[in-house]
Amino acid sequence: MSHGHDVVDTGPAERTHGLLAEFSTPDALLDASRKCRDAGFTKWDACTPYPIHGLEGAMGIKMTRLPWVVFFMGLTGFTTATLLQIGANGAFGYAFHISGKPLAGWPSMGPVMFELTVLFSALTTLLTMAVFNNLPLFNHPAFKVENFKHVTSHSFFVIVEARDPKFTKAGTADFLKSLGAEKVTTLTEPTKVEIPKILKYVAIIATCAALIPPAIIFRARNTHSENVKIHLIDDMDFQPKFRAQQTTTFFADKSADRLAIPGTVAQGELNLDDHLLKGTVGGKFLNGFPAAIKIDDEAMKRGQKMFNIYCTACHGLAGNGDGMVHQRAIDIQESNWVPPTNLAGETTLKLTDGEIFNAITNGIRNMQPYGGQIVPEDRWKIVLYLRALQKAQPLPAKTADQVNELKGKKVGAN
Amino acid sequence: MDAHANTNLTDAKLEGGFGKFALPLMIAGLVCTAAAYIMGNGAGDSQKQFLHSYLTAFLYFLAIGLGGLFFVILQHLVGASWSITVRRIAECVAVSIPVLAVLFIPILLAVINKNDALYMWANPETIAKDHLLQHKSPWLNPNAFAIRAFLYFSIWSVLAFYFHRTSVKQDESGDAEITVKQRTISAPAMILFGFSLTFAAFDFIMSLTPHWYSTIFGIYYFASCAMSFMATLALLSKFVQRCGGLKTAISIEHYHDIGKLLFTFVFFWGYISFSQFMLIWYSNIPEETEFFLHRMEGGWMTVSLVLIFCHFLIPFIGMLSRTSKRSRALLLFWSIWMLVMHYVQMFWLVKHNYDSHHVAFGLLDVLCMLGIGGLFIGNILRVLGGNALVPVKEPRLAKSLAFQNI
Repeated sequence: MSHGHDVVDTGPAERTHGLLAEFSTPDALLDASRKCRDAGFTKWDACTPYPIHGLEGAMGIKMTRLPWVVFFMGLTGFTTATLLQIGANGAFGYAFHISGKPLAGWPSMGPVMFELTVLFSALTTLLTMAVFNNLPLFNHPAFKVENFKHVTSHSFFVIVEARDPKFTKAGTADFLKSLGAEKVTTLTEPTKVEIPKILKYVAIIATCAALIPPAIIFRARNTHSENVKIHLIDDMDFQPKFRAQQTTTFFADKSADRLAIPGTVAQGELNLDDHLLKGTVGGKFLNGFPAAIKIDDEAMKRGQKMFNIYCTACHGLAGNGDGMVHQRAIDIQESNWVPPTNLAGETTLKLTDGEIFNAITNGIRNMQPYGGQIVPEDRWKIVLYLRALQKAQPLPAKTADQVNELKGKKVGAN
Repeated sequence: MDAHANTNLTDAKLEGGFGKFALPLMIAGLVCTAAAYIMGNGAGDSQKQFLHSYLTAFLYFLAIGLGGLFFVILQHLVGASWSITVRRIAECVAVSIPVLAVLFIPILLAVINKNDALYMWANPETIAKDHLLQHKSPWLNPNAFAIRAFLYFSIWSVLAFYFHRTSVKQDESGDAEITVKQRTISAPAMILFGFSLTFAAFDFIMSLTPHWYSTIFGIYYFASCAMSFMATLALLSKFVQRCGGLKTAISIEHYHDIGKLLFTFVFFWGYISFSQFMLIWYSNIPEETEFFLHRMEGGWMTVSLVLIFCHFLIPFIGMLSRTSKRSRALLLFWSIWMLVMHYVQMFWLVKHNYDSHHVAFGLLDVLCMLGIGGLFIGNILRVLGGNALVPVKEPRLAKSLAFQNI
């Protein structure tokens, strides 16, 4: 460490910004910082090429308030995400039910809550840190000092500003040199350079010009025009077709909609077999299957498959009316719940095959129609399987007792 | 403050080690384990109860051991110098994994004897009746399970021994080459560690419900490992200091960093648990939802809520501020809190398999915890007392002693 350098002045006539002291090791800087702190300086700073552990303590810097700002902005992000999602799902207005999920299902909201919390926190950290540190700083008196460029590679600096109450040019320079500074340089305030007038006018004109497009848009949004709308893609706006309920001069009745010619039958829609399609014979629901349904093992299996797909949700696998939907409704004590019919019960046993087919096709009570979902052949096979289910039911308790009683008598007789 | 701080620690080794704690702890542990084992061979479903309580306690301490191994490998891998003063403690935790390998025998015996009290897939009759398990049986069968368990414990033990032995060797020679070598080994070690832990979590915990699967499960258990170890490290550091060791070596700066990592892994656990739950909740497929659905009924719902609030939200808010990590009292409070929650987490994972309708905590659970814990912690203290408490000739020790947070 060399001593005895004179204070180098960069310009006697200019106002002093402060003093710049150069150190060559981080330890020297830490030591100097501690002494500056203890000497009671307040308007000063240390510059290093990299973070030095313990420097903030040596400089006497208080804990930053940044975490509090970040914390509250993080909460803001969290709240924003929560309200945004509840709002967007329509909890306050038209409800959007998406794949049966609740409107404010917190698990699906979690990722956005997390992301917005992090986003708000991260941006706040960066921006607030910059504001607290007076960044961005485009110019500083130290930039004029040649050696100061080493602050990005290997030199360490202390800057004591002239506005510090303890600052005296000679006294502080001596103090800094006593700390072991390699070199102490006086920093001068940069002379203020006026912005050229022409630039000011350009800026004013540009600002005004920038207001014109939004003004035009605003006007267009709020006034009526007699002019024809501009069609950018003509053949998309004017398509050679008629929409429903449109008029035309081509037909005598001036309607673009045409009725089918009486007696026309669309392909595959002749629908003559009432028994197969409606379950009726001569207008009455009867027992027995239509001729088109071949009763065999395959039909029974198909019926079982269709029954298990469409019917078990409510009626249960055995048709006793205890399907999952029913169980769930009981679990949550759904007040309006009408239990599904026990298909093996008296009511259904009494029905004819045709009536059951009709119930499946058109629905019954609060059961929806399945005619649109299941083809007629499969509906008949469901009836077939249902009949098998009814036969497979365990005996009613009373009958079973009677059977046992009879058995007992037989044993007794022997 | 500077990099040339005095490294002549006068309290780097304790006279007589931790003998007065280690031996009684291990004896008590052995007695409790034996008592639990005998209770577990009684009538009724006592064996099933014992195996579940035992696995809960076993996974509890295995997590701490694996967390220790992870910590050691990680510090070498990233070339961290701050942690050197607490690294020997972590090495001793990791090197106690072989104790757990021995303690795994009761579980292994049950599986090899095709006893389905714990893992239903261990019983060939169950598999014969179960189409899905038949498909999984090439992986989930007693022999493959035993071979894999042997492999996992071998990997962990060898790695733990390696990092502990070489570190102790450096205490004498002061050879800087050892540090370089450790760092080279740490990269493949981390890969081995990652895979072995993932598959061990699948085998030991996830296969309790063999129809259910979750590909995130490995890292889910890992989150518990890292979290529980950081809490343990804070407590052990404090314990060592109470016994008169490392008074100056472990400063508030080190506690602060341990606190930061504890906080990190508390959040990491929440993040991973939520990821697992959210995906399963959203897709809503019966074979996946069963795991959570059954834990959302009756008393288990209470345990689930305790986990959400006390394992994640409350400690997250509690440990958020810098102050809570730089206060020894607060850090120790949260460490104990998290270690209790770690038990609730293991309990929630394993004991639900024993009784999915009631939350049953009993004497067997206490005995198993005391038993395995006594042996495991006793062994940590035994090993810790045998050598210096820090790697005294590690080239970067001075840097660690002088460490300060920004």
